[in-house]
Amino acid sequence: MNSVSHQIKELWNHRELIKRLVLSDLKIIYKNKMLGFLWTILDPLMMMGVYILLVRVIFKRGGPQFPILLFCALLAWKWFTSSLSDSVVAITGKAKLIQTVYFPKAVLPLSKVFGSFAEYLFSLSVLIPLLFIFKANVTFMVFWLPALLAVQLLFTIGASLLCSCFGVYFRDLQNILRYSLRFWFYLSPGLYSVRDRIPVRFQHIYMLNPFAALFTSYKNILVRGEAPSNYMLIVIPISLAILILGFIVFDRKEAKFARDL
Amino acid sequence: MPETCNRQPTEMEVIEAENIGIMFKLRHEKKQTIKKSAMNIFGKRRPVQNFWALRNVSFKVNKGESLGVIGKNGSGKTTLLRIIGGIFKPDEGSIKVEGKVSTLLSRTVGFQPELSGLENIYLSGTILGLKKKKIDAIIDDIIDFSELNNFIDVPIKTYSAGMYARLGFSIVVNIERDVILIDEILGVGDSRFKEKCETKMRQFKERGKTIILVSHNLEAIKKSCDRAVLLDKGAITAEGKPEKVVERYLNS
Repeated sequence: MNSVSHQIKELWNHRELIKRLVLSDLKIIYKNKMLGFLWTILDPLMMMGVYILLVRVIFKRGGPQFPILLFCALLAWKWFTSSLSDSVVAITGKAKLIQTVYFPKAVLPLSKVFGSFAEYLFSLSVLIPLLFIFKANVTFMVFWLPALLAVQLLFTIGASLLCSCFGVYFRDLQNILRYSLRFWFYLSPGLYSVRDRIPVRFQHIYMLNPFAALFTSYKNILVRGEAPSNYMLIVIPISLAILILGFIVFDRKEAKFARDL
Repeated sequence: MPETCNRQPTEMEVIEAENIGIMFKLRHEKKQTIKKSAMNIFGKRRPVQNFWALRNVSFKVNKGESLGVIGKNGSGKTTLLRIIGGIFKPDEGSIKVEGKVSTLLSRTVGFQPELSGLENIYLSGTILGLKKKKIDAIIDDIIDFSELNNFIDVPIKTYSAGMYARLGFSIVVNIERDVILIDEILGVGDSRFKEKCETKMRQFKERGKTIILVSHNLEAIKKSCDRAVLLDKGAITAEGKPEKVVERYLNS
């Protein structure tokens, strides 16, 4: 627990650095690309296009609200995956800096998580009109969104801390991660819904995947006008456990990064 | 910034190192992959060589003193600076450093080529531990010192090597710190800028800052240091007046 509070204290003391790193990253991303800021919005839209082609046109499945249900899950998923894949190289990519000046290394993966989170918030500007275009049942349930995002944030920070740490010692983690994340997405109810596809007797095990409950809850509150999934009550302790584990592992390895890079 | 000061300074020492040692594991291939570590489990262990970059190194630096560190390449000079700067944690012994340390281990700190000079000053300054307000207060000094004028708003990827180094150096020398670590950096830019940097160093000294200078430029060590240590294969082999230590180094 000592290491957790130590890490959190260090991060809090260096919050200005995290902010600065996030802003610099965002500036660089948008300076380099022809479409700039538009890209944040186009990327999930194009992904949605690919899946619509696959599910609706080729397999003739999915209901009328399939695109918007999928989009809710895709946005959250994109935040998670880009946090993780950026975090894997967050420490190794700053090898020279780490060997030049002392600073708490956890700011590096954290700035990636918050950077992707900022992009998620930008992309809400597309989600909102789409909710109305696809006649989503928008109710007061949407106010659950900040709570769901907070849970996902905790889980993502924990997973990103772990990824950035392992990225130092296993340089091929990046490739493995890419495929595991794809598997993970198909194992989570992004393209389908739990009640249609998962037999009831497996549901308890299936829902242990944090994104099973998160995707279902995002769809429920934004499109269906229903309450978040009850399984969120399990996801909260799982996320906290991953977060704490992330801090403990990171704290143990941090002092050695400069030497092991 | 490292602020390991659980104890009151007994005298005027700012840095106190006791028997520090640091070990590196030398592998033939540094980069581990999952495949390789899986192979390790099944017994095919690669030989790992232990290399002590520094061992049994003890020294003290007083407040306001400037210490020169000389030695051949690979004798552990930069490693020593990194330990003082809190970048490496020693495996053996202990090191105490009072006050805020600034490191000039590199000409630039965290620069992003796509960003402008001005944006990089804020980025670099924040990494060095400054709050935005503090940077706002010294931003004009930094820009003046760098002599970049209008170029300050241009992405630094368009800079020449000299401009790049000037900007990096201007940031570090304009930050107020108690202990300043310099690694072979005074060879920045043209001779006029070099002179400016040397003046800045002298001012630091006059203001009672503690300076540790690692250099192959023996004249610079003789000229600007009060004391010098000679490192050889990770151990201090001579210590004392710069002239004497330099002489000893040249004769070794």
